Amino acid sequence: MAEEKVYTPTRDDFTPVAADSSTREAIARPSISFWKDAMTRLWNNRTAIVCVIILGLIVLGALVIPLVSPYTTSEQHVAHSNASFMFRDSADGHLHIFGTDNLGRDMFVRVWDGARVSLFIAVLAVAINLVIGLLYGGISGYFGGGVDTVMMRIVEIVNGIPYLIIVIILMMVLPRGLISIVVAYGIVGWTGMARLVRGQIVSLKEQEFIVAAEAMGARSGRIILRHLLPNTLSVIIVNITLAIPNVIFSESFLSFVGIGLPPPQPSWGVLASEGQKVFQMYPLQLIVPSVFICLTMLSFNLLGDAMRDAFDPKLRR
Amino acid sequence: MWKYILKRIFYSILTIFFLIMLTFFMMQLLPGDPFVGDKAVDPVVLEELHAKYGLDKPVPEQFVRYVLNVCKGDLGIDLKTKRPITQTIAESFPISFELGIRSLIFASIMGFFLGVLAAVKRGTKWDTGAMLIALIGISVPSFIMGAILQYFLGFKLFQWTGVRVFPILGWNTEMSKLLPAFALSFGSMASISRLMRTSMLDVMSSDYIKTAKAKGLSRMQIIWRHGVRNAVLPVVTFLGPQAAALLTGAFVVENIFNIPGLGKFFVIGVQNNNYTMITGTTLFYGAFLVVANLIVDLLYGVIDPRVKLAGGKE
Amino acid sequence: MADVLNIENLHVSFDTYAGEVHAVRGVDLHIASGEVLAVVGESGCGKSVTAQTIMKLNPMPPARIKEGSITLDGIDIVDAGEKQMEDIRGRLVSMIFQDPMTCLNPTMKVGKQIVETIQNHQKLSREEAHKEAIRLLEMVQIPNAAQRAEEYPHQFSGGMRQRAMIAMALSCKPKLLIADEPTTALDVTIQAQIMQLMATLRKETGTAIILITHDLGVVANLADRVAVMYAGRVMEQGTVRDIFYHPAHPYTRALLRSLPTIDTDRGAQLVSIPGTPPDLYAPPEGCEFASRCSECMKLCRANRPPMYTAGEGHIASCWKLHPDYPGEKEGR
Repeated sequence: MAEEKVYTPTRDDFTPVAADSSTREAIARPSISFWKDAMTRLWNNRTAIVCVIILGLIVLGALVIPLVSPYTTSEQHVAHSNASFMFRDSADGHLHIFGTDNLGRDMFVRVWDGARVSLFIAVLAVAINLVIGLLYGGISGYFGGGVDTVMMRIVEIVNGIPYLIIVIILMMVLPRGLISIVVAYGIVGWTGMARLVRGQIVSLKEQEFIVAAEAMGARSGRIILRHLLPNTLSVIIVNITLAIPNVIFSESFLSFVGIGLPPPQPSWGVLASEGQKVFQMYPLQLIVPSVFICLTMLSFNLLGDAMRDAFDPKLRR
Repeated sequence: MWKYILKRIFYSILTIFFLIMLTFFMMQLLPGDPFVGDKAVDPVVLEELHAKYGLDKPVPEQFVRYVLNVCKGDLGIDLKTKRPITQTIAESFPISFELGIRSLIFASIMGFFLGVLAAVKRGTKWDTGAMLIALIGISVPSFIMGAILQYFLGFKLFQWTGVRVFPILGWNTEMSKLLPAFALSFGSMASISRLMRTSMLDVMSSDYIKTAKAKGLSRMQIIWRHGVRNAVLPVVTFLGPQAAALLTGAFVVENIFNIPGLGKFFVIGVQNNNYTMITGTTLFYGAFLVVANLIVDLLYGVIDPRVKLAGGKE
Repeated sequence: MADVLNIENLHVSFDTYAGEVHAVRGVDLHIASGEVLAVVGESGCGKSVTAQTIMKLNPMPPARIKEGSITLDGIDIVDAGEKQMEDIRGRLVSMIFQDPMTCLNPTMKVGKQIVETIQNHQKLSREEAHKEAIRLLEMVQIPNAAQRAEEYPHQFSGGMRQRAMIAMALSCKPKLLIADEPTTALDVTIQAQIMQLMATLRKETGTAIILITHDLGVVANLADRVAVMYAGRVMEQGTVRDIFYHPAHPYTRALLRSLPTIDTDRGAQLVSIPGTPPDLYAPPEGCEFASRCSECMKLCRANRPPMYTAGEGHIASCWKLHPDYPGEKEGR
């Protein structure tokens, strides 16, 4: 048998004691709430923190830099067009951190103003997706049955065509401009969200812990607040995080195809598209917006992955 | 099985019909005469077009006419060149198709191996490396990737070595096809590898893998015979949507590399407000993708024995 | 008779991000050839971990054998390398699992899965292995075995899949078969059939069986001896008669009381054991069962009882078996 020292009992030790009901049911570990647990895990993920910082800086720069810059986005410095990195003009003392484009416009202010436009489009379009997706998916999942079948078939049909083609067709009809891009993407990109919301609602409706909560007499308000919401919300937040880079990509894609924003309004896509035309001579004009696009998409993607892991430890891999 | 196929075909037709409707209403919504672009169109041609599409008739009749024309394979006439759209498609689509197939094959093979590698060596440097490549792939849009490749491998490499290894533009030689195909495939490769990894990890934690291990199979046998074979199934269904991504990606890649594919003509059409070109090409793309999706779905039914039964039981 | 399996003082831990889980803490088990040992206990008591450690099926890390030895047919398992384990698994010892629905590869024909096992350990041609697979399927009483071998697992019912699993497990005539809750996921009538089949096969093949279950009911028919596990330790071990008629450990008694019997009044409440098992992140210092034990004594909380002999081949870990215990001793 085990070599550990065996205690030699005294006679008194054999007195029976009543079972201690307090320690019996005690759970040794403290219970942690879902959000607190998720936030702790996210906070401990160094990549996620770096992403948040990068995105925070980009948003801050987009808000502040166009306001404090000595140049405007359409102001032309013909004397030093296509200027290089950190160009300083000795004559008028102008400093162009990212150089200028072929019309002599300052790239630094243009790329930050472009950030403003691109992020604005992304956030607004995703917000529209979210609203439509929530309503559509919610109705479909809540009613179920025939309504659900028909509504999901429609989603399937819309999904059968690449959304960029539909966006392009819509852009042909709508007047060119910022709002059009938002609208076009907004009315096409919701299918993923709708499917997600519907799936969540359908599966949650069936899930045992909801039934259990109901059986235990939890009021519906409490069920929604404590059980449905945290589960659905986490999935939606992850989806939003991963949808934003998608819109940024779509916006730059449209600009590249030539039906993006009308000039002189810069967006990252417009800048990249303009830069691509001269990149053999002046690669900087393509590199600057590309770095911003890639960095932003990378940060959102990494953050989305990190959040998915944090919200669902089962999927941690 | 037959019921499943018929159902899929029915939805495919419905999707194409939806697309026809969409393009039709786009034409309706356009301000003014859809056939008058920024340049004046030959009045004779205009007359012809009006008669052909029955623009003097009420909208429902126009629609029926439109659908019938499309069904006959008549996608209209290019407003700029006055050539049938179908002719442009017949000439340029094979090039786009070749570009797409090259990209799809490369993306599938590379994505597959990267995903398997990452899953099998989970948590190691291999995993981190493979997933880093994948992350770059989904974060760098194809037009940026294309431009980077052009700049460094097409332009700078030539400057440094004096040898033109990769041409910057065109679609003639084998070498000229590599850069665009790679630029186009990078994003798909990344998505496929991520999916493959997740799917593989999922399978590797399943009970039948434990059974295989308990049988005394070696790790390699388990991974290839029981792991990969099951993990690849969901990835196959993903190839349909990937075809769509490659197709739209080709719009810009063909433009950047100046490849005379359909994507390039489509984009030129978009830029010129060449409406018949846009609608015609859109319909063709839609139909093509629907068929591609259908094939992928049917293929899935063939390779996964469970699907066959689900249909056969009914 | 020589022991097929000998486990001594086995300690297995899992390193998780919340800390170390002491899943198995000093388990001693042995099983003679041809014998059936039932390992009984509630969920999370370490019975499955012990079984999987015998075959080294637990992913390591996070699992880790901290201490102890496992000897299988004279081979030291703890120090065996992965190559050696691959040879041992399926040939010397094989395992059937709880859920036959998920344990067979869904995209491989059932016959092929058995053939694969056979060919892995025996030098047989494809045809011979295939014939052998069909013979095995017939042995586990699957009708139309030749035709069934060409089907996929989803075309089998739950009971049939478990039969196929058994056929696969026995394909290389292992010395030891570990059955990890083989009937838990099945219907009651199917459960009886599977147990019956296992009893028959055991007589035919002479394979020793470790039957892991939380259901004392299935134990009585098949097992020779029973080990009762709780919180990672064996609490009591003895013959089926000992355990059922002369339980020496309060936990065993509580388990037996919670079994509904034929005499239980309809509508009468089932007896349950109050409380929950201890947290294995921080196992208690004294007897693991003390906090739930209705016969708990002063010394139980702080001192872990050693194994006492309660009769021939009957041991239990309870202070009530101490020679100085003043009350009447239970067991035999």
